[in-house]
Amino acid sequence: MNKSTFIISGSGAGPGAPSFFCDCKGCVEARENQTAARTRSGAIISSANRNILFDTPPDLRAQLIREKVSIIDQVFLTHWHYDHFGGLGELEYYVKLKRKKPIPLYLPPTAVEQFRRAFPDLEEIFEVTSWKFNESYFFDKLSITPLPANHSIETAGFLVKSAENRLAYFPDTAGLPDETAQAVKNVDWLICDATFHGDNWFPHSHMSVLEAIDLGREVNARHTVLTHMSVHYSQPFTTLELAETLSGHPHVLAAYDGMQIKL
Amino acid sequence: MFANSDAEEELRGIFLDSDMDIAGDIQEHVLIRKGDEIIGGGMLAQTDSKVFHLLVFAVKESARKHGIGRVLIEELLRQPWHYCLDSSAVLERDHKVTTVAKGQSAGFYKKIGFVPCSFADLAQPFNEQCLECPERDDCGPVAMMYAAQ
Repeated sequence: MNKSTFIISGSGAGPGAPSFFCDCKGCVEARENQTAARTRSGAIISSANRNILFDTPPDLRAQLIREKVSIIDQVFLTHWHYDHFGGLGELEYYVKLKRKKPIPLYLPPTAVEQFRRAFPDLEEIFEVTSWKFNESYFFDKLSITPLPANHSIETAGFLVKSAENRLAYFPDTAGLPDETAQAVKNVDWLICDATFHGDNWFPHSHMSVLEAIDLGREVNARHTVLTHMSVHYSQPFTTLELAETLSGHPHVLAAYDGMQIKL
Repeated sequence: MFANSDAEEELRGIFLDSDMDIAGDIQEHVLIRKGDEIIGGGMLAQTDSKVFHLLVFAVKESARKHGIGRVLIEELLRQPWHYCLDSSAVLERDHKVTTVAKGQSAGFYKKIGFVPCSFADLAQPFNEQCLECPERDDCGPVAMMYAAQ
């Protein structure tokens, strides 16, 4: 059977880890130890005959090379923030030199005009469609449904359903709107925003590690996977310290770049 | 995270203090550091698509008794794929980790959720690792299994 895999291609927040400007202990560790590094957040659904991207972070090229992805069939964006769309231009030469036809790009409705302004020369690279909240898109034996997230601008998370699993991917959100929480109740995998460690500087846009764990408990997720993690703020942390924070939460995992989940 | 030859002597010292030794290539071992100090290490091998075997695990004596061993072993159990060199596994909902606890360590593993099992439940060659060992009676090895849910 042709099973799909959900790959967390990037698990870091906006500055990435290490950040070139930062010498906190988390960045120091990430410089010395590649496995502690976190590229900007993105994900890929990969199967034998299809690859779907969720977000195109500025690190996209390196992520695709690392995950040995050479074909891209669809792109969904959660929202129009640079750390989630900044790698769109990386797909230009893939389309021009190999694919030879535009890639379907599903954008937030309010981002379509921003895309046209930001990338006037990429119109021929993408076939732009605006996704609609709660409308499902079907690919092979999977469905993908954008659901509202709580973020500073119009933002979706995606509920992915296969025959065996339900997976919710919400890299940028502060809790979930009631109707979304209901829709993702009892998911097998909740992959969610855990930007902050310690105080949450932006409680209306992001979550802290502990808030993300609480959200997983609230929606009764079988496993909660923490992503979009900064290692810098508000309290820098090392891998060991993160493990200490997660101790006693056997169903909570810290995402890492390249983590794969069977759908 | 994975050790290199520079760490071999220090890690071996930690293992020897717990009557263990490097279990394979040094590069297959996970290192646990606190700052510049190595405070522990372990090695996992994948024996089936959802089954891993913990060959060795030890924490430096000076770092024990602060719950650090529990934190570290929980992390290894939570996502053994990440700590197993060249693992091809993909996260699924259930996975198992086996080990052979020696001496007093069975109590530690029980607290974390391992349960005793038969040596026959372990993959080869781990199911036979104690058969010919002259220290078997003194060591009191216990085959154990952890089942993630």
